[in-house]
Amino acid sequence: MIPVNYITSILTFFSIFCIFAFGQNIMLGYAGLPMLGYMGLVAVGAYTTAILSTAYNLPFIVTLPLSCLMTMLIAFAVGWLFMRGKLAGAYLVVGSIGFNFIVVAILLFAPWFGRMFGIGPIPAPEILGYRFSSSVDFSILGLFFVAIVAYIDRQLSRSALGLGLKALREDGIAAESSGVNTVRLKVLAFILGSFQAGIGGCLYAYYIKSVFPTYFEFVHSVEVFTMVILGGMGTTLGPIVGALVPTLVPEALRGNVPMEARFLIYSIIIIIVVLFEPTGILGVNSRVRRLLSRLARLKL
Amino acid sequence: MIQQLVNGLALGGLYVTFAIGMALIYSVLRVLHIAHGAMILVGAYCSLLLLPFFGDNLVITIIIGMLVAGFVGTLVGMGVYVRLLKSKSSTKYDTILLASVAILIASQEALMILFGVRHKQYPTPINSLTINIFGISLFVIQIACALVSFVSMFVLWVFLTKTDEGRALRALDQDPQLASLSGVNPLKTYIITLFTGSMLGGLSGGLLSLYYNDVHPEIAFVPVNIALAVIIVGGLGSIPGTIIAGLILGILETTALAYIPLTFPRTLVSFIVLIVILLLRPRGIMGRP
Amino acid sequence: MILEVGKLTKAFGGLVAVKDFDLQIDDGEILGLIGPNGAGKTTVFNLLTGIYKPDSGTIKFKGEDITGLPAHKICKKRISRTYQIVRPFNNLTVLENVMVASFFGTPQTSILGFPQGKKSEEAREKGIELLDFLDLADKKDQLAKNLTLYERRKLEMARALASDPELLLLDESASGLNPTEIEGMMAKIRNIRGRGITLCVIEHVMKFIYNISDRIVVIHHGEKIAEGEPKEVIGDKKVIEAYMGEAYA
Repeated sequence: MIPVNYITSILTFFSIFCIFAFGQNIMLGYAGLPMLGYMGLVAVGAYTTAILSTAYNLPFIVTLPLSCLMTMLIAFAVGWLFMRGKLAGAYLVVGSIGFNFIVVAILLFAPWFGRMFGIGPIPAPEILGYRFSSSVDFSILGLFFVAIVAYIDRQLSRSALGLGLKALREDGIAAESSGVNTVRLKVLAFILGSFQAGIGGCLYAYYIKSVFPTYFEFVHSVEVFTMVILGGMGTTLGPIVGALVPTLVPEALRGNVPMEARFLIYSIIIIIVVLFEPTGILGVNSRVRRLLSRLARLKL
Repeated sequence: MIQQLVNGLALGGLYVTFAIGMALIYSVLRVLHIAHGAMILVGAYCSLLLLPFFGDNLVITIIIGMLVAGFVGTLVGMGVYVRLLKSKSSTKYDTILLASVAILIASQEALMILFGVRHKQYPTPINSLTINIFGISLFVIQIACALVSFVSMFVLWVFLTKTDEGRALRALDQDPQLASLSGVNPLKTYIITLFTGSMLGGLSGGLLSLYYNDVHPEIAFVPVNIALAVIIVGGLGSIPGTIIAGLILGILETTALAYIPLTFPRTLVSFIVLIVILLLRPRGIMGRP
Repeated sequence: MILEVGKLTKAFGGLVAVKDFDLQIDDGEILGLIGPNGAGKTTVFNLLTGIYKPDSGTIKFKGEDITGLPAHKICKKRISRTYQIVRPFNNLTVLENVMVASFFGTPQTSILGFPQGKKSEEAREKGIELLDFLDLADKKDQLAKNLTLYERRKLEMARALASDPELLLLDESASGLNPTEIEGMMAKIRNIRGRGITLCVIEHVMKFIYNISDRIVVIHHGEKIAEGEPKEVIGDKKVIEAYMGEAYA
């Protein structure tokens, strides 16, 4: 008998990871921007929610959009600064790592964010009088937002804007010669990808009930990065598959294996997957995707 | 005051030795070799754990650590990077980056399992040895680190400018197409670059673990981050820039620690400089525009 | 005169790539731009299309000063180009490649930089029509990276045409192609001119440039050394000297 709470808590974390993965997918998978500091943006969303709900007692309906707004503003500022300096490739990687570090440092040392003690406890979110407090509640809330974010992703992927982002990824100079304002579109990718950080950060804060700077450290950004690459960059199903990896693999290894070995096996899995399928399990031309499309054709 | 300076130069020298390996590999393979941190671990663990087998002779174990690191680094580079570089995906460098990070993490975890979680120390208290020069007492270990770093920079300079293989490396960095047309064998140059860079990484690992008197799987984390800052601040693809940046950041860090409370993470000094450079002069001190 | 370039100069570090370069292109003509390797031909194209900013000089298109504009704006002003080493969007389909240009390369875009008012269906149909014109219609759903060189060259042309250019700059479209393909390319170029588009063509394959150009401009060490009808230019002493030691078709 597997306890319901166990499953729903996994589902909740899965949904939150999923939302992060969708956001990073827009930056990395569609626009090809190697941003390695996504949790820095999530921190903005999470802390905004935390502060607004504890210090100002604002309800969920207000904290959610405000967190998104705040995250998108910061993403715009960071993105604009990076793109104005024409940062690309390695510069962007290191710059975004630096961004993550600085965000965490500010959260640790500036007086308004609770420093090491974080902010909490955060009251349960309420929609139309219903309090989301149990694991079941959160998993449903989480999956609901995954559906919304996934829908947005699908629409983006099929739109002209999505095509422009993908062109950016493929060949920035050719895109620019074809009329794409690469600087503006890159900044736009940052903004669009941070929207999910706002949503995910907000849900995260409500679920774990208190936010600490260590939750948003660089190592966790690597986890988000991993999800997108393993799952399949630049596709709508990719982030979903990608989010399954950090959710299921640690659980699968839980019983028989000591903790250090878990990380070791996890990293080895990453290396093996990446060597065999550089674009991810459900990447554009991956074996799994080809198999699935063959199966789909057979059934019809 | 002089102590500070020597300390800064020693630390800076070590950062440079490590970062140069990363810079060389970047300039030839265009890969951000985060897994280079694993070379520190290889170097550190070899130089400590092999001591009983070589009569506690540090020089020998450090050299062995260098060579082992060279081999391991080359294996990783050829087995993983070169293979992934052949992919026609437009995001292959991101995939390579992920693989590199995963390799570093895997190494850390593997070492934790193999050799335990406790921080290990070197047997004799080498760290407290001091020398009196011109009436100022300086730690031997710091002087040794600074000296070894500068010597290895010099040797590297000779290698890059005077030998055929070294020149091939620089050619491949400047203009890959022209280089291969002129008969430079890319694979051979990759191997040489990986070996040289990783050797330097291993050397810096052995020395770093001596400097801090600490051997532990997580000692590579901070140097890797600082090295990233160093190669950007110095200018991607510029060896002299990397050297200058490494020394400056090393000196800044040791000076900052004297005036700033201990709770302030050391890496932040380098990252602040990094962000400032990225905003004001992205190509770095000596980067090409 | 659709394009008027005056005293264009560009230096990289100490090396002067293009020096005091003048160029006039008349409406509806096919102008050939030739010169030995490294003469500065592609640099001129890069300057015209906003990939590089000139150090000095002016570029006027249809009377309007476009000097120093960024590449995406120049595309929207109706100047398109192809690249010497093709740059397709490898992991996008052939049709998608063309649609990028038809979405983004035409003047109506919003403040945020993405296309507005251009319906997906229109762009798609126009894309298919262009692919048809270049005999690529049956490959429209294939990923660009799976095409042959000739097909990729044609795709590059289709993409350049998708943004409705009035001036098309072709950079060595014939290099690496076999004689049949070269004939095909020449036919397509004449057809494009027939649609009212002015062309400037960089080429090394002499037979190609001789047959297709109305006029030829010769560039050497970044400077114009000759200009005129193909017959005159090919026989020009300076031109022969510049090419001496160079084998050509």
